[in-house]
Amino acid sequence: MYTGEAYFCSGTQKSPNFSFTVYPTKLYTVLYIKTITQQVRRIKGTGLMSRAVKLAGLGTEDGILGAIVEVHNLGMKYHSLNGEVTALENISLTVEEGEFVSIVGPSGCGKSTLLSLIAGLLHPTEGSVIVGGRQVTGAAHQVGYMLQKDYLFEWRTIFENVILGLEITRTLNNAARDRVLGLLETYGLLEFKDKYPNQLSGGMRQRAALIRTLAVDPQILLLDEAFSALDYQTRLAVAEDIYGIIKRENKTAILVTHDIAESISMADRVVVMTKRPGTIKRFYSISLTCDRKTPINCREAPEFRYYFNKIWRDLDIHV
Amino acid sequence: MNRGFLWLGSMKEMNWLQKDISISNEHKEFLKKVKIRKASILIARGFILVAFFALWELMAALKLIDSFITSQPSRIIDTLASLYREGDLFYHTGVTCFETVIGFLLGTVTGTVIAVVLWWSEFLSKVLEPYLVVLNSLPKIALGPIFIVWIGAGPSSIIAIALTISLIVTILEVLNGFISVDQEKIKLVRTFGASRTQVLMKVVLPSSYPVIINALKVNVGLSWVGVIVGEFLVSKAGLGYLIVYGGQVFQLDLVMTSVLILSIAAALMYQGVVYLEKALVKSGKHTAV
Repeated sequence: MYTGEAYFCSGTQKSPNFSFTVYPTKLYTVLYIKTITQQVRRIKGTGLMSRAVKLAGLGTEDGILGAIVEVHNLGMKYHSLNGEVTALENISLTVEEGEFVSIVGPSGCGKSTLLSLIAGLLHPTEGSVIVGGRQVTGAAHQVGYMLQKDYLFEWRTIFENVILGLEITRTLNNAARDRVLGLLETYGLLEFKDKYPNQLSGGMRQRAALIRTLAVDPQILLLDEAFSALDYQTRLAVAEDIYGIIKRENKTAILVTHDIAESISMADRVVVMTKRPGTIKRFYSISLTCDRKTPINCREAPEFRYYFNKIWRDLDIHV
Repeated sequence: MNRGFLWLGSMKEMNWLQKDISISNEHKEFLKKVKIRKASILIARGFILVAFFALWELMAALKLIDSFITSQPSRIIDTLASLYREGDLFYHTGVTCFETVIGFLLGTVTGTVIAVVLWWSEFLSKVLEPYLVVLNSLPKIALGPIFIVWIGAGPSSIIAIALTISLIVTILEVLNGFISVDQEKIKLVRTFGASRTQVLMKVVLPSSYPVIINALKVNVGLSWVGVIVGEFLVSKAGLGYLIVYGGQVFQLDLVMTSVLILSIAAALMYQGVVYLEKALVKSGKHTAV
């Protein structure tokens, strides 16, 4: 039996936040860890948490506490008649609850493959993905995915479009319907709920697409070049809009992009990837001095250029 | 109107200005031109129809053509009247229309169902590909005698011929439509954990709606071919039967009358499908993809 205490630094004060006991029986460990998890959840967005827990040897078989997404030594190979292509190699990544992580890399570095693996759309050749403490084996609605375009179905009204996920997961009941209507109202789409997608502007369509993703209440959002199909001005506005919604709904997000500025302006952390085979080159914790953290404000922060140049050099792009 | 002025105007004034523009003389002129063009197309169409029958009647009356071989509009009207009096008109037309509708509905439905099966199993679709290609290029009418021997001389054989004629085309067309559905849309529903059935019901079928409607349009024409050929081969009733019978006894009036009825019925059925398509589009559900 092992009994111990974990300490967490907050400022200069050192205080025991909780104590834990690990019983030799696995069942006990799991049960006990569950109660700890609830406490841990309260301490948000600190990489410190998972590291401390890991150090204390509290990692369960399934994952580290506090982290919502864990990617372990992930590798992915594609096979074709022309041979074998290694898309991803030895990727390890942890995303904390409430964190916004951007992944940047040159085109073809396997960024989107990584997202598909996290979403369970593909099966990794090596390694594992754990989302919310459970190993990912197939697509599950705890992960919300946003694609390059909105892909709203033109034969469905906006309302019918946003409940698509609920229909598929068979979780469409009155409560869910009310929640969706609430989301539409909050984000200014209620009056358009019976309109068809072609009657909406690009920004509104992207917002409807986000609500469609949020409707199933995912633990984590994956944004796969979600703004790249829009023209530059709209793109800035939509990124601002979507960022605001994600923060307001308190969601964890992973954004894949090839736009360095976009990645810095939105993220708490930027992951830089190398060319094929895609590996992780460097992590950047972004801390910008701006009044209110929104993508557009962040672009004006004095440190912005510093990160931009660093990442630009990391990407090592030659024409 | 000065463009800069719009900036100063309130929304109300802007609407008023737009209204003002919409009834400008130039716009009136434009609308008038469009109307005239539309009307002249309609008149020209009508004129061709009337001129054709008038010329036909006139040349037959003046003995420039032999009305025994070519028949003539007035004799067609007489034949129509006598067919109507004897109750044959609606009977024969009804039989043919019935066979066609059944043939083309069966062809479209069966074809779509088979396309779904082939979409489901890529292996099966690859295996069957050469067979479909051969069957598609085979003139299906050649199978007519086989159906007659197997199913018997009657409406069932005729429907079978009509069905085979439209079946293979439908399978190929619809399957092609299924395959060309945007993969990203499929990815989208798969991120929600959709099963293959759900992918089919929520994405593939609805986005292939225009393709299916198109197949329906093509099948109307093909089914008429199948039914008339079938009636040539076996029947004792129907417009195809009247045409063959008329030809054998050298009654060209009967042949021409039947052809006329046939073209009207075929046109009406085609319009029916177009109307159906429009009704679906109007309900907003299926705009062209």
